[in-house]
Amino acid sequence: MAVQLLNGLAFGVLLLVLSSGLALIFGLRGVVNFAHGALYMLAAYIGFSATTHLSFWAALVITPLALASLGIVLDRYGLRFLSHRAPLDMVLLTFGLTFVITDLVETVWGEQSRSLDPTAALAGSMSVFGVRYPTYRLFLIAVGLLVCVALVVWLRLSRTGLYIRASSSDRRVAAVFGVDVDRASAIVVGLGSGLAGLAGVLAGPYLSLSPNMGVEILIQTFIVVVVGGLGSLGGAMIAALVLGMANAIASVGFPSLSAYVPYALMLVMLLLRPQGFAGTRTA
Amino acid sequence: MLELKGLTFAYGAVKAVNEVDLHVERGHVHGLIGPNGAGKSTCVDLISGRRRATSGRILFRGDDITSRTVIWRRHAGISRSFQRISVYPQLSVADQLDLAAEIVGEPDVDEIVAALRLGETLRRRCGEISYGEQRRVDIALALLGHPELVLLDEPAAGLSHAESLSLAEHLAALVRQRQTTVVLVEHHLEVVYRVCQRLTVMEQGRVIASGEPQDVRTQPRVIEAYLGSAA
Amino acid sequence: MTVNETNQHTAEAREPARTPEPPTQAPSPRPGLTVRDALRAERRNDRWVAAAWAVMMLAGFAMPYVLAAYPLQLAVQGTTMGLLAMSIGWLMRQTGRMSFGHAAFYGITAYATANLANHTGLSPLAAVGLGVLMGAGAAVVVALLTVRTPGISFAMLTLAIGMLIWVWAGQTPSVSGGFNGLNVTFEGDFLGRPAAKLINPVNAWPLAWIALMAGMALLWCLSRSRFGRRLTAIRENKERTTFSGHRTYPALVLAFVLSGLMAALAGAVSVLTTSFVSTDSLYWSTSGMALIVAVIGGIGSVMGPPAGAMAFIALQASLSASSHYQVVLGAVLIIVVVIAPGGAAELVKRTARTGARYLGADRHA
Ligand SMILES: Nc1ncnc2c1ncn2[C@@H]1O[C@H](COP(=O)(O)OP(=O)(O)O)[C@@H](O)[C@H]1O
Ligand SMILES: [Mg+2]
Repeated sequence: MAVQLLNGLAFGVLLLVLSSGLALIFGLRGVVNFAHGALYMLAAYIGFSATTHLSFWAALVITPLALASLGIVLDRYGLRFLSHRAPLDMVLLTFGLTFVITDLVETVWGEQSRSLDPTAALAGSMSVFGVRYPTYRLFLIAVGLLVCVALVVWLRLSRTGLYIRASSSDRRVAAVFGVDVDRASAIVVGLGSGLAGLAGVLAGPYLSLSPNMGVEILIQTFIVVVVGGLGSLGGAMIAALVLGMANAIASVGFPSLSAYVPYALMLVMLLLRPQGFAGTRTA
Repeated sequence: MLELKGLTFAYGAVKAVNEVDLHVERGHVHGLIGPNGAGKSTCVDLISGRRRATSGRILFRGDDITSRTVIWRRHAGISRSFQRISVYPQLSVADQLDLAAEIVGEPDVDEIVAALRLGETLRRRCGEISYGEQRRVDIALALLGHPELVLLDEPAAGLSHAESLSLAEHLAALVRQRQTTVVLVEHHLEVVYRVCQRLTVMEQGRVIASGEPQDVRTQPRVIEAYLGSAA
Repeated sequence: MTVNETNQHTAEAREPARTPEPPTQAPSPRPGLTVRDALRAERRNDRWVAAAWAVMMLAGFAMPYVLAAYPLQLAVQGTTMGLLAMSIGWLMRQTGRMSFGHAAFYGITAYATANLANHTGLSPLAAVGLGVLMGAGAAVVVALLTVRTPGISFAMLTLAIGMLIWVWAGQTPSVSGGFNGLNVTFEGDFLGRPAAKLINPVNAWPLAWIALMAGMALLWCLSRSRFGRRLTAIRENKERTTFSGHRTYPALVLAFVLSGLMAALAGAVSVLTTSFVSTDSLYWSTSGMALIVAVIGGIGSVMGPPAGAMAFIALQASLSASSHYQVVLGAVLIIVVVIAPGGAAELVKRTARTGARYLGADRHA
C-alpha cells in the first residue's frame, strides 16, 4: 500500500509540474494550450538525447531552458499577435502545433518507444516508510515539489510575480496600471513551457518515451486544471496530487474502475461548476 | 401599469437597489435619473427579469411578476434595451430585426425602421455600422412586437447632442403613436425634460424624489445629489 | 416554407391600410430599403448553391466509373469522415460549441449496429436503424447535460463523456471486441442488395454518397430555416435572444441532437461499408481529426467539412509512405486559423463573389 501511495504521489507530482505550466499560461493568456502535451513529449526526447550525449544532470538543466526559450519565441511571435482571437481559435491553433511537434519528433527520433535508465546516482532503491522504493521516483517527487513550492513563493513575493498575478486577474486593468503585460506574458509562457520541459526530462527515466506520451498525459493535465479551477495554480496543485492518489488508490482498490476515475472527476466537476474555465486566477 | 414595492437587490454586501417604490402610469414616459451607480440599471435588470430581486415585489398591470422569467415577461409585454449595446454583430440589421420580429409577432418592422432611421443600414452587418446606429438597432429590437412597457437604459449615451435630441424626438413620436409606456434611464437632461411626463430620482439605491419634472427638478435634495447648481 | 410564411406576414402588414406617411416619420431623405427587400437580397445566392449541390450530387454517381477500386475505397472513407466532420462543423457554426465527443455517437451507432447484426436475427436495415436510434439517443442525453455550458468547458465536457464511453468499450471486450476490434457479418439484404457486399466500394459508394448529400442538404436547409437563424442568434448573443422572448435551451438541445444524429449516420455508413468497428472509433482523436478537417474545409459552408475530409483522406493516402501527413495537416490548420479563418470554403466563396462582380461589371459596361 505504501508503495502504491508513493506511486500515486510520483505521478501526481509529474502532473503537478506539467499542469502548473498549463494553468499559468491559461491564467495569463486565456489560452488552453493543447500543445502543452506535445511540448512535454518534445522535452522528454530532448532530455533523452542530452542524457545519452552528455549526462542526466546536464539534461535536467538544458531541457527546461530550451523549452522555456521555445515558449518565449512562441509567445513573442505567435500568441501576442493572436491575443484578441476567440479562445476556440487558440484551441485549434495549439492543436495544430501538436501535430507539427509530433511529426518533428517522429522524424528525428523515430516512432518506436524508448526507455531511459536513471543515472547511476539515482539508480536502485532506498527504503522509506519501511518499504523499498526506487530512488529515482523519490528524486522526482522531491524535485517536483521543490520547484512548485519555489514557484508559489516567487509568485507571492517577487515584484514580477505580483505583475503576473495582476495581469491574470485583469489584463486591461493591469495594463492601465502600468504593468508591462507583454513582458509578463513572455515570462509566463516561457515559464510554463519550461515547466513542461522539466516534466518531460523527469518523465524520461520514469515512464517510457513514445510520441503518444504527450496526448495521454495532456488529458489528465486538463482534468487537473479543470478540477482545480482553470487558471488557479493552487487549485491545480492540489488537484494534481489528488488525481495521482485517486489513480493509485483506485488501481489497487477497484482496478477495473480506475480508468474511469479521471474522466468521471472531470465530468462531475464541470457539471457542478460549469464556470470552471471561466475562473482566471493565478496563485 | 408598473409598480415596484419595496424592491431590493444586493450584489453581495452592496445594496444597489434599496427599498425602491415606484409607480409608472400607462402611456407615460417615466424618467429615471440619478448619478452613476445609483442603481438605475439594476432597477431595469430587476423589472426585465435579468436579475432576481432580493426582496420586494414587482407588479405589472396589477399582477405580481416578481418571479417570472425573462421570456415570460417579454411575451407579457415588457422589453428593454441595454446600456452596453446588445445586438448581433455578425448578422445584418435586416436579419436580426426580422428574426426578433418573428419571435414576438411584430407585423410592421418597417415602421420601426423608419422611425429610427435605420433604412440605410439594413443590409450591413451590425458590427460594421456606427455606434449611434448600433444603439438604434438595440432600441429597435426592444420596440418590436408592440410591448406595453419598454425600459430604455441610457439610449442617448455616446451620442452627440444633436443625435440625442433627434433620437428622442423620433422615439417619443413612435411610442406616442404605439401607446407604449416607457421607463427612460438617461443622463442627457434636455432629452429627459423634453419627453418625460414623470421623473424619479435615485441616489445610492434609494428613491430621493418622484413626481412631475418641474416639481422634481427644483427640490433641493435633487439639486444637491445630482443636478448641481447649474439646473 | 419558413421564408414564405415570413414574407406573407410582412406582405399582409404592408397592404394599403397603412398610412403612407406615418406621423412619426420626419421627412426622411430617401424611403430606403424595407426589411423584406434586404433579406431577399441576402438570399439571392441560395439558388446557385442549390444548383451546385444538384450538379455535385449527380456527378458523384459517376465516381465508380471514373475511379479505380482503391481510390473509390478512399472516397467512401472520405464520405464517412465527411459526415462526421459536417456534423461537428455545423454544430460549431450554428451554436459556437466545439465538440470533442461526437466520436461517441459515431462509435455507439457502429457498435450497436454491429452487435445487433452479429447476435440477433435482425435484418441489416433494422440493425442500422436501431443503431442510429441508439447513437441519437446518446446524443439526447449528452445534449441535455452539456449544452448550457459554453465555450471551452463544453469542449472539455464532451471530451470527458466521450472518453468515459471509450474506457467502457475498452473494458468490455464482449461488446467491443477489445483491441482487435469487431468484425461484423451482415446477413440479408440492405435496401435490395446483400449487405455483406457493401464492403466492395463499388456497391458502397452510391449509399455513402446519398447519405452524405442528403445530410448536407438537410443541414443546409436547417441553417437557412427559421430554426437555423435562431440558433445563429443564440450563438451571436444569447442574452439578447432571451430578451427577444426566445427559449434558448430547447433550441440548443435540438441542434446538438440533430448534429449527433448526423454523427450517428456517419457511424452507420462506416460499419456498413467496412463490416468492422474498433474502439478507435470512440477515441477522442476521431472527433479531433474530424474537427480539424472541418475547420480546414471551412465550417462557414456545409460543403466545407466534407471537402476537407476528402482532401484529408487523399493526403493521408498519398503521404502514408513518408508518414509526414501530420506536419502537413498541423501546418495547414495553423495557417487556416491564422490567415484564412473560414477555411477553403470561404476562399471559394470569396473568389466566386469576386468573379460574379467582375462578370456583372462586364455586363453593365
Ligand atoms: N455586476 C455587478 N457586481 C457588483 N456590483 C455591481 C454590479 N453591477 C453594478 N454594481 C454596483 O451596483 C450599484 C448600482 O449600479 P448600477 O445599477 O449599474 O447603477 P447606474 O445604472 O445607476 O449607474 C453600483 O454601486 C455598482 O457598483
Ligand atoms: Mg447604468
